[in-house]
Amino acid sequence: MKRILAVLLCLVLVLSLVTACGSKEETSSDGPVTIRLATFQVGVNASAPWFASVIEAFNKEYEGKIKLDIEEIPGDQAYVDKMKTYISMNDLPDLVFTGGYNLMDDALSANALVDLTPYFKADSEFAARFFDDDIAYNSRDGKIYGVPVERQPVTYFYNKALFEKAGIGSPAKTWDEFMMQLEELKAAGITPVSMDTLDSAWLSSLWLNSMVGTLSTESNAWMNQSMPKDYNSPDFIKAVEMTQKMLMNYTTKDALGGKYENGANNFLNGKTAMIANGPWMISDFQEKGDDFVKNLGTALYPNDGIFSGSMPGYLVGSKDQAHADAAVEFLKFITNEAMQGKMVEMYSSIPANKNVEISQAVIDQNPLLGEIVELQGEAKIVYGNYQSLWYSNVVTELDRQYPLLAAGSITPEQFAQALTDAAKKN
Amino acid sequence: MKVKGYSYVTSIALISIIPFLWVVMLSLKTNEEILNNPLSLPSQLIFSGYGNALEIAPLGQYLINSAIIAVVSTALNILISSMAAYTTTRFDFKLKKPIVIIMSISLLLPITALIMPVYSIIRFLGLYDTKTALILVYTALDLPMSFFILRAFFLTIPKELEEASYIDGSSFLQCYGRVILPLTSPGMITAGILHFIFCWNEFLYALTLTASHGARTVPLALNYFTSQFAFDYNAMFSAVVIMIMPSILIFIVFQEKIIEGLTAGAVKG
Repeated sequence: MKRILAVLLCLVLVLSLVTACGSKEETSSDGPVTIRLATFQVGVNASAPWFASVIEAFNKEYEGKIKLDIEEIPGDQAYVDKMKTYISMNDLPDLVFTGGYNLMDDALSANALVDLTPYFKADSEFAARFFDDDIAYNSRDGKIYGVPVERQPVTYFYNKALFEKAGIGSPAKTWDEFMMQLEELKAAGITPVSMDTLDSAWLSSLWLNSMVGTLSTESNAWMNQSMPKDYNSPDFIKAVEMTQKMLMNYTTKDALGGKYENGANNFLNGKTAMIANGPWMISDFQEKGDDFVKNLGTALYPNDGIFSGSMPGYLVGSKDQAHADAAVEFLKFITNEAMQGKMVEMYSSIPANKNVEISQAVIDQNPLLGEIVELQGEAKIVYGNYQSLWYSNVVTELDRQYPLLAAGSITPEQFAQALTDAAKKN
Repeated sequence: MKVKGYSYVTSIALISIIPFLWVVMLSLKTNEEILNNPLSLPSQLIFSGYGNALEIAPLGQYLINSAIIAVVSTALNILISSMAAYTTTRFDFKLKKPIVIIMSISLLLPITALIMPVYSIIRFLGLYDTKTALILVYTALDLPMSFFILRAFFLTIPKELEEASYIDGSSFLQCYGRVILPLTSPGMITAGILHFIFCWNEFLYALTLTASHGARTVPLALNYFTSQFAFDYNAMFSAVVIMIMPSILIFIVFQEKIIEGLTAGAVKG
């Protein structure tokens, strides 16, 4: 009896294992090609409604030919972590949305990306859609690995009424003038600027990056290089010194230990006069009403600087030709004029497709977006941002160093050294 | 003395209930109020967060998945760990010591260190993006903890009780089912509750081993309410309330059994 029971148990185990091993992968050769797509454009993400509309339109147009298997990974950090797991396990999805994050270099070192150059060469209409600098940004060693979907030139926004109250006529042209304006705002009883110290301190880092990017030609070149390892330059330390001064004297108390949402909430409620951020924030302004939007202006950083609009695009991680072809079909679809035009209207983003003109009607409805487009042309200095250029462990290190910097517990030199130490671990 | 006792019990009750009440209160405040004055009472009650929570994230589906995974995994975990704990306390065999040592070492391993090998194994078995994957992984990851909790309980049961049952004519299974299991029910309930909570709250493996709504669990749903440049705290706290409601309801329904199990003596008459 015991033996029979043991044999039966073994059989059940083996059978369940065999059943479990049945792969969920597609098997039919006649049916549609199923491609995996990973994205964090879901939930409260500003681009989620636009992305959902793209998927709906794509499914309609490619029904029976290409099937999208979408993996929603809500939350930026969770998304980046999961993509890194996929890269390490050589299991990258066919299409990887990179947002503003640099996943390309990690994926390339794992030899996990498809070279898209032949697709650009084979389709001149597709290749002609993009700006040269966007393509250069998404290329390594002369090969194209990423397809840009949008441009995100980052300026800063200011509250005109609060500037007026402090007697400030127009945004600062130099960093000295900027620091004086901070003092003037403070003297008028206004908290000058929204900043943060957690989640890699996006708001504070934009100011720091802009200072580094505009202080000198050398520091501009440094701010445009990928994966820098030495942060101990005099310009970087000077920029950290100015950022520390801003954190200690010219921002809200909740910046120490605060995240992006604290800074955004302060600006949206008229508690601070300035916030550094990209055009995607315009939809938050619009939710506050027309009067609020009319009271806002946007400006280049002192010394006529702006964050480069180029950003990491979609990557293709397909393992075979059929899947790579299908993935590129999707990229052609998402960057076509109709989808890109919809993007401008639905979430105030600037299209990567240069053939898409932002109409006067859209600008009349969204004047801040129009101003940003104009400022792009006026900027004299362009530089990249830390999230897409620095090592990911350096970005994580910022979480530890910013609170110390804001509390005055470390010097700018120690801040720079801590980032250098982190970078050198790579 | 009575006053002291009451004030002690009241303070313990307040410490337990205040975080929950605070979350409920936050779910009824606007985002602006939550960020400006997190500790203040709501100026007006906002119930729209609950509707938004259900609209933004697939909460219903994730709750069902979590319930299935947590219940099945808890049953499996307790079944396997109780058998392992019983044999290692009652019988002498060659591999007894190595098994106990391996279990002790497993307790010290950080679960994050296992993520890559576990991912590879699950992929190899074709179980990626299935509830079965999470059930098996959760059962295994928490096995050492349940094993030692139950082992401690088995060690307190006198051998004479089993000998008496064998003298009365019980078979091995009858002795285990009718004598041993009832005596260790407090241990089983303790280990079971701890394992259920572990399954309900686990995030990293749920994120790594699943890709679709069909297998994902509630901790992942909370990520739908915040991203780097967008947030809806009102909806997020509403989702938290919705998420913890089932466990509170289960406790209310099975209150007597759970307390009885937790407070029962080691030897029953």
